[in-house]
Amino acid sequence: MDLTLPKEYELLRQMIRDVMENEFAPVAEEADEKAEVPMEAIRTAAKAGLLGIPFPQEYGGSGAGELGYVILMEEVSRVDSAIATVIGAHIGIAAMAIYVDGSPALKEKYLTPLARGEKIGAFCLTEPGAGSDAAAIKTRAVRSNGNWVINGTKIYISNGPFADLFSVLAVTNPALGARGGVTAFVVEKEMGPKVGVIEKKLGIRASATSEIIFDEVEVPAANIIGQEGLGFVTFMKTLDLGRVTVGAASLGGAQKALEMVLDYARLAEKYGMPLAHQQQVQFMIADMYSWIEMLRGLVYRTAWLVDNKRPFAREAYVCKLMGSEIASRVVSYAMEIHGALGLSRDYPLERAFRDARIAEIFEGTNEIQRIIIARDLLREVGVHIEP
Amino acid sequence: MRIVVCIKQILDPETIKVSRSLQAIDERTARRIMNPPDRWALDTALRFKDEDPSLEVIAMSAGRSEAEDILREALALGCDRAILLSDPYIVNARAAGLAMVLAAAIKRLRNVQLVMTGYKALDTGSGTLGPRLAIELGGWPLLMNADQVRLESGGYVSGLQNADEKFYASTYPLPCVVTVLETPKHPRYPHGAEIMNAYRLRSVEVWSTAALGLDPATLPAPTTSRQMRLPPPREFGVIIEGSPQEAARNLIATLKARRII
Amino acid sequence: MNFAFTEEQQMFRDMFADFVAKEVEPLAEHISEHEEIPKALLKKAAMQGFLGALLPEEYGGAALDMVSYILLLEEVAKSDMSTAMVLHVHNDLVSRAILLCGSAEQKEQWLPAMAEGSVIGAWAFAEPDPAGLTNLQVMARAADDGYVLHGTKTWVSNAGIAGLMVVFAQAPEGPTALLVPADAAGLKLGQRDKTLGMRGVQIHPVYFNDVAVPADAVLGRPGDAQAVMAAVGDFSRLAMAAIALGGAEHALSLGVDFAKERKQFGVEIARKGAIQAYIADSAVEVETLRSQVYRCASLADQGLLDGLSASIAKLWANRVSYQVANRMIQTHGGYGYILDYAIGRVFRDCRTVEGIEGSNRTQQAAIARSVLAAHGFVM
Repeated sequence: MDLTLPKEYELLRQMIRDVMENEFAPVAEEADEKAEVPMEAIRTAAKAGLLGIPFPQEYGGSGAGELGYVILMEEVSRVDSAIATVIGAHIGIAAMAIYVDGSPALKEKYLTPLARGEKIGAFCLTEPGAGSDAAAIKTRAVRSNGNWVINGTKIYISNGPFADLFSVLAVTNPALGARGGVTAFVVEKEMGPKVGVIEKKLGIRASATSEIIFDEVEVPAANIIGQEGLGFVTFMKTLDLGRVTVGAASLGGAQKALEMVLDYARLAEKYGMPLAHQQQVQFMIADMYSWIEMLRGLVYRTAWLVDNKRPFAREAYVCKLMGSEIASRVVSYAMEIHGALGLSRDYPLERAFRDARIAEIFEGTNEIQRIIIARDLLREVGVHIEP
Repeated sequence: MRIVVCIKQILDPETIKVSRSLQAIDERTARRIMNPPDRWALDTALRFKDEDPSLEVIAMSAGRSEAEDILREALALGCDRAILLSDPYIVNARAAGLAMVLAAAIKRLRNVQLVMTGYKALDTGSGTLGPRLAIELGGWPLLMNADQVRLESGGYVSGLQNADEKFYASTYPLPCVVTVLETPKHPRYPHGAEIMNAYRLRSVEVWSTAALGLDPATLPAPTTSRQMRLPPPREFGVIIEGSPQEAARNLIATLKARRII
Repeated sequence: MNFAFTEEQQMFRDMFADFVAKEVEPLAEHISEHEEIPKALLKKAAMQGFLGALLPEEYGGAALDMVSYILLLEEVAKSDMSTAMVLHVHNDLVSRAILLCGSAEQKEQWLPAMAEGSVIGAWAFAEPDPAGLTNLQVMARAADDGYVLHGTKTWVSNAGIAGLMVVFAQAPEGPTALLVPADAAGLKLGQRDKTLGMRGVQIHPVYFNDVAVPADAVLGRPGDAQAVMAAVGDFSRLAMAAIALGGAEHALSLGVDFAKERKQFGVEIARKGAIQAYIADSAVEVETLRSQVYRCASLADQGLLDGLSASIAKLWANRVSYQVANRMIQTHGGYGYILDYAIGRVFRDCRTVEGIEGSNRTQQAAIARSVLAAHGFVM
């Protein structure tokens, strides 16, 4: 059991950290206040390969696998979780859906420009009546002259306002439902999907979220990801992988909050005693560190399972569940230790607090994660439950 | 034409901690990085290669085997070759010996027209490697502490040379040694794929003094450090009390008494 | 023991709720978005007597008892915690300090104007290096006819709308509270402090660059700022707890309303055990906070409010408001994160409670000190 990180991954981590600290950190506060995606920095990141880290080099990626992807999300989120959302939506779900089940030709055509960062991707699953209950989608694709025509509205689509390519789930056979009647498509912006309402959000405001409206959008049959009818499986496999990196992003956010606390506690005094000498603060620091180390072990072990083609779905649920809750708790502790300073929008902790909160909600709320973990465990002892 | 960029691995000044028990810098916690001014020199050379892909950029470092990592980084950044000069003599050698070994290696690589390095290493900070190399290479011209370095047509190199807090536009014929100033703009990032390939597909050549035909016995003696000590603490200053007028009078009296003014 | 409201208190509560529904609720989102409370709203509040809530009628006040006043803060906070916070600083810090510690002239000069809303009060206590009254860095140097103030105050709530500030400074006699008009020469506001929540409260640092203050501006006795703090201190923590209570109730009602409507897997999520657990735990916490807040208010009316009870209320308020808002934003799922829904604002506001007037650690220390002292262990 060798737990050392191969050296190429150490250099990869250093490169990502440099990009984040030089290009994103200086603009993070402004991007949050104005709710604008820092596109220039994103383009610089794309040039360094950050938008295709896990994918094979033959498709324009870096060939760094899930381990590289976990490192990417940890380091990105350490500086700006909103950017982790932009990159996570692009790599982790939009491009990943094409990667997991797309044909070689489809990958060549769409995964390559995504991995190179020449195009930005968005993942279109959620609908007004289908959030955590993904099987309840209503968006419909109907066959017409050898093509498919898509109608419906997707909501809360990360990267929606500026994406070039959309991985879209639509019902192709209502009679079969999620079991064989749902298909995944790659849709180009030029094929006609429209950007609807752009949402104002509590946090991750440097990412952009919108409705995507499909009104008679015609898509060639060749743009089906995998097989007709099996799109639900493709999307669920994709989300399994995405959950690992929600944990990784949470790890980075929590790590940064701890670093800020250590820095602050060393210097700040309250009532004549440095915070670092107050036992309540010491215990909070010890707890923060312990949670972070547990999470680190979990996230990297799960990445190892993925890269070594072992089953990982259950661990991925735990990554998302524990990662998001640990990050929220750690950032919340950090705010408590910082007092009024922690509430100030001139100091990055306040932003980190709002940003961290999304991870308990998106990519399936934590309640759904718990339901599925429990259902999975109970099935092993012969109990079958419906959500 | 070949360009050799000499790069040094240093301990990141931001991560250095002095261990009380070891009475030395704690190397377990410090991070090893490419000396930032050297990275800028490398970036400059790679910019020349961007413009003229026929140029061959070779990264070279002399030191311990750990320095292989900055050479891999140089490969990831786009260097054609990476050479590590390493053996027991080199590990303990100081500036004079290292310059001789580096010069021997550069001479062995034929057709090197330009040797570049940072204006100084941020750890030792002596900044003598450039001048020493110019001498050891047989009296090459030296463009020192230069900004905006450019390869000119007809076999020249130009740059703004910093001396006496002024910049002088200078041009020298090749072959030439150039030491490059650190500038505020961040140098290029290696691409993720090139990082992976630098470790998985590419290799770092390792040369020893013997392989260069040098005999350590004839080179400057290596040095070892026996002990490290912190400088003695400074005495606490004097606080001059009183109203601003009184304090000013007292300050002048004190300075006069100490013959400072 | 009597836990019922009097008829009068019940009547007041209905009146507050009515005012809030008509005047505050429609503006709550606007206040958060524009980060200020419209002047017209403060004017209407003044006309209802809310800006002289605790003052006797002779100063134009509404002379509310403490229980009724706490109900006012709670009801306002149920719609907008910022507005409640502005009332709190104005009423139970500044005007109450003047009422309890001020001279007859000071009361005459300031209280009627405060009650009618032409002067809003701000409380300038905190400093860049917090050390409490024992080590104030803002200096009040003795001058011919009073003092000259020099130094910086931070996190001065209401600074941006204030006509009058209570300033705590180190005078030759010791720490001293002074009444300083906001337009005094040499007094300057720093850049607005932008905050996570309660964005309607205009918080600024305040710079005193040799501000001349006459001797009769001293509130209470020179060197005895402690008496001013003691007069308002316990009650002000209680007032913050009441605001937190209103916020927590608001969060709970938003969460419950959402859970009744939102369907997942074909049923309302309110039918799900996990959501019911969130609602149940939140209800338990809100009700225990309510009990403590009302009990403290009742004690205050009898002149019996003690520091321990107030600190318990504040510590519990810090935790409850955040936990409840946190569960209820979670109940909203993705909708909670979108600013079209009020829960996002309430979540930010509730999280902000802890940073104002005493963090968890401060309250823990105070509570522990009291409890240990009661057991004969004096720190």
